[in-house]
Amino acid sequence: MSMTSTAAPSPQTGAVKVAMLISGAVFVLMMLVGVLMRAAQGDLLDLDPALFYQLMTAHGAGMVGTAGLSGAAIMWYFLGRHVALTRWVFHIFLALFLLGVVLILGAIFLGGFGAGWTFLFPLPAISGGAWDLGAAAAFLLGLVSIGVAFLLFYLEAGRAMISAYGGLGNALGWPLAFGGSTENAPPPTIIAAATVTVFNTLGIVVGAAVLVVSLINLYLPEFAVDALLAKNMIFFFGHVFINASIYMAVIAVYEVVPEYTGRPWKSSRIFALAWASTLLFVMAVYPHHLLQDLVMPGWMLIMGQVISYLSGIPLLAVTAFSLIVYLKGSDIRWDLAAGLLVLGVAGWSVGSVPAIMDGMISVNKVMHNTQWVPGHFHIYLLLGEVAMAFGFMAWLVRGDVAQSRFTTLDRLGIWVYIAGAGGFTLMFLISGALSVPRRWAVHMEDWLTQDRIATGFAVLAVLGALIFVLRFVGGLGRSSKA
Amino acid sequence: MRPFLAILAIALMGVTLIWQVTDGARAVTAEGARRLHAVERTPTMPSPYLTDMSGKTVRLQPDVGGVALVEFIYTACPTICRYAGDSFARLKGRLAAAGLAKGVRMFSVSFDPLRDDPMALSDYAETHGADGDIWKVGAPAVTDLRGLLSGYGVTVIADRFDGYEHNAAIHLIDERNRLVGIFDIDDIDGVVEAIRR
Amino acid sequence: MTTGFQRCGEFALALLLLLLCAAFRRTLEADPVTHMLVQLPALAWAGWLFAGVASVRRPRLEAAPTNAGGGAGLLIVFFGIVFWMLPRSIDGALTSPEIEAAKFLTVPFLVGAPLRLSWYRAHPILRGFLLSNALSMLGVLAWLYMAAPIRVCNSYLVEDQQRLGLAFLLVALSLAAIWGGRLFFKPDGGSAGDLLPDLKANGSTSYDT
Repeated sequence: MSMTSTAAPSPQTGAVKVAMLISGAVFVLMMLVGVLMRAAQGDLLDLDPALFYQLMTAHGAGMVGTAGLSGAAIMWYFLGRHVALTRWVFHIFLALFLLGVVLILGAIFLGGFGAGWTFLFPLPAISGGAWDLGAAAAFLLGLVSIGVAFLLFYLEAGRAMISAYGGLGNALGWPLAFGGSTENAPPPTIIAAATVTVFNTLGIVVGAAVLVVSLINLYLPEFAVDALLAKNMIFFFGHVFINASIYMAVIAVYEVVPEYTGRPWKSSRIFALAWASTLLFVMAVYPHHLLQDLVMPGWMLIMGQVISYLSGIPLLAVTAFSLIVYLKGSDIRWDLAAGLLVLGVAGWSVGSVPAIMDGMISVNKVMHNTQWVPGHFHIYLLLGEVAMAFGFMAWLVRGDVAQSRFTTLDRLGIWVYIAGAGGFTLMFLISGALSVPRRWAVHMEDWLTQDRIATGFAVLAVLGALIFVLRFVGGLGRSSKA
Repeated sequence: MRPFLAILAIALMGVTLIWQVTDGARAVTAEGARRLHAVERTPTMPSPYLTDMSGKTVRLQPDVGGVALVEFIYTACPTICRYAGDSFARLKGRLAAAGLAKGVRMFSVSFDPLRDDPMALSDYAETHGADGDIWKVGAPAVTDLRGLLSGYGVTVIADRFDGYEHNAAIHLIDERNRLVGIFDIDDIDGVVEAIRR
Repeated sequence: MTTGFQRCGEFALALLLLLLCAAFRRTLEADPVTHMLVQLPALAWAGWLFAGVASVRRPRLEAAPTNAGGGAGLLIVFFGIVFWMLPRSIDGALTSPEIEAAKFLTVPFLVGAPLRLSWYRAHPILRGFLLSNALSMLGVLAWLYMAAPIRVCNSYLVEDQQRLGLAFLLVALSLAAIWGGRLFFKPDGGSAGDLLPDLKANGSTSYDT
């Protein structure tokens, strides 16, 4: 393999477009899977419960993985504007990611694996005959492959940022955050990318450890490890990973919005401080996923609740507030990309409200196993990360800014998507508030109406997404951005 | 090209080596290997004379045409040997109930012959209900101990409480004094099933 | 530049390490923690030093085209480590003189020496990957040894095994802290003498391209 590395920073457009094409296609496909599940719950469709759980596992793994992929592609693209990245690393990243996808799909649809994407120990080993060890091993190996892909990705990102800024501390913007030094302050992209690189590398190392332990347990069951520790590690990894996808995607907002407003997005001291606090909080907050585990040490659960209030809020506030300030008073020409990116920040903000409520111990006690929880994370993702990813895709093929137009189809797509995704997630929240359980393949008579309304909204959201992806595919041919 | 070929060759050799030394990825621990080899290679076991709980001399071997179950203990053991004793007692009951007791000899062999005199052995026998007929509790001569333990592949190490830690298991010996199976001490079903065959 | 004097010193240190490992064999091997975390690393270090001295005398050793990119050598190291991570091998070294002798040969010359001859030729990403993996796997070992309900080595007590697990965890955490700390505060780290990835920009590094 030739190891040609670029001497000067330049974004790797071609490979990033491929990654976004895969992301867009998988997003739509997995949304369709979601529609199937909601339709089955609404008794509009006769789905074998075993298949329901396979679909749920595929939907979870597919969506989390693709959120990660699209976020990573965004980060790679814009990081390439500031530092020299080794191009083949992104090719290996894509190859390993696809290998993982193949293994996971095989495990689910050939092997019948349906233990949920969180592979909660020791569930993969105890299938009650629904799947054999090979299927569980293939699923875990698929996750390992994706983990390795991301590890290489972050190692190269870290290497490039360290060599350009002289240490991770500088790339994180710590001199700016803690010393107020604006000299050589890194741009927002670097601060965000460095933060994600640090915490997600840690998350992946922890995740790799628990995956390997689970694999060993499959074949050597006498090595039964502490299930609570395993759960802690899995949720540390899972929480950090899915948050990383949003934090990577928001880089698109920092880089693209200035093209519309004409004002550069600058790294202020508050901005650097917000990211510094995010680095700490995103890793310390994960116990809020384990509030129902009464054997957890009390202080961890309390920490989980308290940091839930803090986590992400400074960053979200800084980002959303700055965005409003930048947009206000600027003569912005809206188009699909700008609309979706702003929608992403709005969805991210709105999603934090039910999330914080769910992070309260007293609320979580009754809400945790209801559809409230999928409600909040679907707002985060569907209206947040995924919207940002679609916005980035639209921007990638937008062509020249002066000729960019907000077509009727674009407007229709956005409004259909907002209505669909908004209604769909609202139904989750309503059902959750009415104590409809999550993860049930078959629903009671009383819940069917809500399920059917949600299915209708979900179809709308898929239609919107389909418009965005088809616009992207159509734009690929004639795009001129290099 | 050269590095690629070298990597390929090393990978092949390395995988072969690890495959070989783990018996085809089936045994990564010494205990796992010992159990695997018992089934696959049926090595012949030493059969020294033991002094049993009544002071009589018996040979550690099955009757003609029968099988023997052997476990290693020391009577001062506060933990796993007590469990092993209980397990042997239950096993004896199960064998009798299944009509398999005839032709089966059970030996609890002490690896602490200095401390385990007939008195200590008989205390142990009484506690666990060893009858001295089907189930004997005995200790080898000090000079035979090392050969016996290494023959069986039993490693005994001193713990920090004036006792020992050892790989406890139930060993199944066939009529030709060959080791044909090693079972966890609580795997009574496994032992009964193996004797039935 | 390494001086002749330094080279002699390194050679002597390597010999001394080998001798100490052999002379205090019984003491070091009585406890799994010193066996796995003192004797084995010391043997590997001896091999590392030998290879360093040898490659000064024979520069071709370090530039062998077969080992371009360090892949071949690192793969040897990998299999060497896998072999000595098998509990069977450790038990074997304690009960069989042949396996014990093999340990004194293979750990220096199939782990330490090829590591020295390959590490600096490997791409920084490969090095970073191997380091992160090492941390992860030390964590896995620590966890297994602390939680396993079975004794993995017949020659060691269960409580020693658990202590070994804890020791692995401490090593993993210290290594993570040291490596992580250097990335934060000493970006120019990774000079030729230590086991850290060279994180300078492409072009100024010595790894194979």
